[in-house]
Amino acid sequence: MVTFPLLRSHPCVFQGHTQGKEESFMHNYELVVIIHPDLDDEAIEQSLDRIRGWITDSGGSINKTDKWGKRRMSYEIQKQNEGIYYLLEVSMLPTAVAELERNMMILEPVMRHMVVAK
Amino acid sequence: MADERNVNARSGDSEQRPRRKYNTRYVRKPRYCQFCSDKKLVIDYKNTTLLRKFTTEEGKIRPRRQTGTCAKHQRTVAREIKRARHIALLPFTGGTWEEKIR
Repeated sequence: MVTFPLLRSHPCVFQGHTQGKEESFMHNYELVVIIHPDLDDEAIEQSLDRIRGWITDSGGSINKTDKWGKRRMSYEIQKQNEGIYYLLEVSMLPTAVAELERNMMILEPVMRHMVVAK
Repeated sequence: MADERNVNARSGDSEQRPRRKYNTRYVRKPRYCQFCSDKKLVIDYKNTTLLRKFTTEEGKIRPRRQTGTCAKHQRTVAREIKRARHIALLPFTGGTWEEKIR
């Protein structure tokens, strides 16, 4: 079979039958993270860096990090009334999202997270 | 004679109960979806001030018949409210009565 490398990578070409990770495209996601309020800035940066590391390791990139700061939550999470909110705008492979979420569940300072496709 | 009587009877009737205008019973206020009329309004889970208008004081999602949004936008409103609830920007239940119990 003759393959046209340029054509195959073009977004207009149907790619449903190609299941390889290399062939799928970057999607934009929004990632909201609520971090424990009692942590100091260093620990927060560390856990954020770990999240960034997971994203970049899977071939994604971070477009923007937005700090909302300490906010009062509408209900208690882990017996805390406040949380430190961060919003990351990320472009990554859709196949890597599931693993990211699994990793975030393990990361202790993160009280709650949410990944939303843009 | 007979004609006069009939006329009198009719006029007497109309004095007792005034004629109802047609259709007035069935006219509703014109409903419009505010997201359809204003395309710039983006429904987003981060915009809690907007979403709070679409929840009751208890925190429930208000029905379409109260807010007037179209079916399509009601779906997105519901989705974004649920997202906002997950990251604790909006309550699942109203905070007011919960605090009273405590």
